[in-house]
Amino acid sequence: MIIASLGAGLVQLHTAIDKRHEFAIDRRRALYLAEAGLAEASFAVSQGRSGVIASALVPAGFGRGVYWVETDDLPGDRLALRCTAQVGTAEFVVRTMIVPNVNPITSLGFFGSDGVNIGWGSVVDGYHSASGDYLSQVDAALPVLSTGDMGLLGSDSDIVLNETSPTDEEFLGLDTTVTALAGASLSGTVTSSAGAWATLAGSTSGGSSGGTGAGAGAGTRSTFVMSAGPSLTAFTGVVETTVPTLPTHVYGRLRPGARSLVRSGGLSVITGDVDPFEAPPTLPEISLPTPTEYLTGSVDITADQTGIGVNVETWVQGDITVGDGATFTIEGPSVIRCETIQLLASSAIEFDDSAGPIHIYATEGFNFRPGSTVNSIASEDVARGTYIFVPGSASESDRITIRSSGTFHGALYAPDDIIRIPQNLHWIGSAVGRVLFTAPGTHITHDRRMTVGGNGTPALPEQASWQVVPLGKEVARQLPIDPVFALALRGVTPVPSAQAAIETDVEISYIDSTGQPSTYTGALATFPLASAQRVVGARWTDPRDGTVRSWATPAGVESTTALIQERKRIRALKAIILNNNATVDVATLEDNVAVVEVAAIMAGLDVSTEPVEVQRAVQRVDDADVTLLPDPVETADRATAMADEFYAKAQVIQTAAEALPILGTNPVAADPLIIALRAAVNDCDQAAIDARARATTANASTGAAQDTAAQEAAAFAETAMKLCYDADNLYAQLQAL
Amino acid sequence: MSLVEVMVSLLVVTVATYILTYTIMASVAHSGSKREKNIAVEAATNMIERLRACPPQDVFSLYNTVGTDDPYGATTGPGDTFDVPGLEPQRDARGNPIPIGQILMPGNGAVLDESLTDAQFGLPRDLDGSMFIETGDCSNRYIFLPVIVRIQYRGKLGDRNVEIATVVVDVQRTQS
Repeated sequence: MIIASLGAGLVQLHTAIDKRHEFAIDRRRALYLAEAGLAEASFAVSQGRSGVIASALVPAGFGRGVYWVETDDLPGDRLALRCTAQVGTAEFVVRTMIVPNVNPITSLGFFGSDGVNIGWGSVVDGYHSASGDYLSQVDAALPVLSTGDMGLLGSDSDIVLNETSPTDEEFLGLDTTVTALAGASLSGTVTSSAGAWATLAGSTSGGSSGGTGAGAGAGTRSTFVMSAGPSLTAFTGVVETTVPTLPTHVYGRLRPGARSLVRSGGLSVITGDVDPFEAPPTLPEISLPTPTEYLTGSVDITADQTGIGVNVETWVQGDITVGDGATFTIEGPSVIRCETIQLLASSAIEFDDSAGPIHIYATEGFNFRPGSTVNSIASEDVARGTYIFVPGSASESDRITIRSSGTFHGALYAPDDIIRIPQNLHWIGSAVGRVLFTAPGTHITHDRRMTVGGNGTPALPEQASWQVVPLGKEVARQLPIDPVFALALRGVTPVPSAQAAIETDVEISYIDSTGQPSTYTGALATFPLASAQRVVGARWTDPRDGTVRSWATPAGVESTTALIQERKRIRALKAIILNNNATVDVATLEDNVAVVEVAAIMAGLDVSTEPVEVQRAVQRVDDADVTLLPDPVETADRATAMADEFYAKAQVIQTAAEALPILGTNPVAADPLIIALRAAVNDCDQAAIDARARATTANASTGAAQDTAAQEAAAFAETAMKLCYDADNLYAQLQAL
Repeated sequence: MSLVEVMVSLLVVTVATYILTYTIMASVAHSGSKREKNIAVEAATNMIERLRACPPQDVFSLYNTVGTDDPYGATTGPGDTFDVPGLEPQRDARGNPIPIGQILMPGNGAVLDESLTDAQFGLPRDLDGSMFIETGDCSNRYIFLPVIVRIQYRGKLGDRNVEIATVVVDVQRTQS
């Protein structure tokens, strides 16, 4: 009896241990199934769906188990996903919080990898355009025009709130009206008919009177006392105009580099926090589209025009120049690839992205001249996104010139260029460049709606947190019966995982086989895929309440090339590490660590023959120490190169101008312009000579003398640049004749 | 007590003792089996965690059957099989050992084609996030990859398999 009892007890014990063991294993299976469920939900979110997958009544089946996912909308555009998974004898619940489809560019706000410099009296703020347009969200109680909502400034280097030299530079052409307030100072260069040039400096007095500057001897610098007035003619140069009376107001987050600072003289008002990056954000490579429709040569727009080319996607194999008085309107969906976009004085460009996103790829940058206007005309709450990309590696010169006024709602991504945002252009959205400057009194506003949701540009969700949801006192619950068997008893067949998202009906905006925009509404399964060149966006109907979700560009529809290039870059780095040390587990090495490792390996070596990906990685690490105040010799040398480059450009402009027929057909009108143009080119040459001389001095001296020489070289280079622009302006006026 | 009763009692005791002994021995053997299963499950979960630690976009080329497409140089990837210390491999018909750990992914090992039918991975299905199922290789652009880690071994109680299924998806943690 005793032995029998012992035996029975042993069997019972053994069975209990066995069950617990099975439960422990099933618990792990359920955990990984729950993670698979969350992955399926995140995948659905990346396509613009809600993330709800199946239900407890009819769950999804995968890997010998079942699961379902529920979602909750959280503040701050976040989404909570909760997955319940059942496998064998175990039930496991996992919860995660994700930020849907985070755009890697616009989520940086206003960002300059080598520095951000905010001009005196600027306003930095933010808003969410889904809640209405900017003006409707302005807080009248604030001392400046602002929503008071959180914006975002970021950099790999310092963020400077400039309080020492409030200036507002305006490049002026001939016959340009200038208004300077009393007390404003003036400086600039004067082009005289004798070809002399000089730097002009002075101050207005008593509110103004008109005046002109006169040239001094070639190659010399003189100071001019200038009586300013409402109109200055025959003047080219720089005028410091309205000096903002209020200090800079920053409403938002400032994110300098890991070893960098926010520098301010203490006058700026910061409402927000300073939160340095732990590691430099990864700036994605730009992948250029190759539209099948292309226009050879440049395109001059001389009258009001909407769109360019016949198809939605057009490749202009030259420049797009919008002439004086003309308005160029771009309606989305649209993809335009060109070399540069030139806005001449009194021209305008308008972006209407209410019907689809606008993507512009300007491979050589753009030049929006003084007097031009830039406007986004779509209602901000329904705008599908305007994105301007300037890819490639910038030379010493600036490829981006923005001197326009108006309101731009969109994003500019130029990771290798200097971006200067002028005073009279309210920039809403995002701007990411190598260095970001704002003129005094500039207003920049970060639109948080552009950072999430994948509207206009494909993007992936980001996981912000992850947690196991306890079930009673345990992390998992023991099930009395296998869930698949239990469902079979109820006559329920689990839905295949891939078809378990609850949304089935969708509206798809796409480019059809003829290159024209088209729309499809109906079940996803019946979408005529063969007749679509490209999907622009999709918005799903939520079957729970019949509402239509926001537009989203599914993560995989057009990011392929960029994604592959980014992977190639990281893979090339890891291959170098592996080649250097075969024992390193490169597969699990984080990207940022890989960049540092490669930089260490390549230190002291000539990387010029390495792949571009490697060069950029090494440069990226080197750039971590770059400040806005580089080495004087480097400054001087770069200035020399810049001045030479602008002189070369000015010569090209002069050659082109000399060939214009107008010189022969209408000499009365053309002669003053061509004379001024030649003078500007001569002055540009002299500025380049002077820059070179100062660089020689900087290389031969030390200390304060070296600094002074470098600064002078930089000033001469800037003068050369301005004279080059002047020549360009004059050329444009000659063309207009 | 008669001799017959003694004999019957002895028989009962003997049978009971035999059953008890057998149960204890089976329990011991089963404990060994459980230990093996624990090792197998640990190995499978470790591998899944390792897959998750890799860049999602590199998982297919690192862990497929082909070495020529390894992302950091040809044959630098670990491949689709792995060893599990503490477990005996199963043998094929010719007596050759079968790899203990196996990573199963959709496709034929070299090509990831979302349009193929593969029920255990739920294919055909969209793997590249385009919303649609397209033919051709998407191994260089997938963002969703179903994976099964299988551990097959020869245990004390015969050949055994453990499988854990999950998904590798390109959802990154928020960059701080």
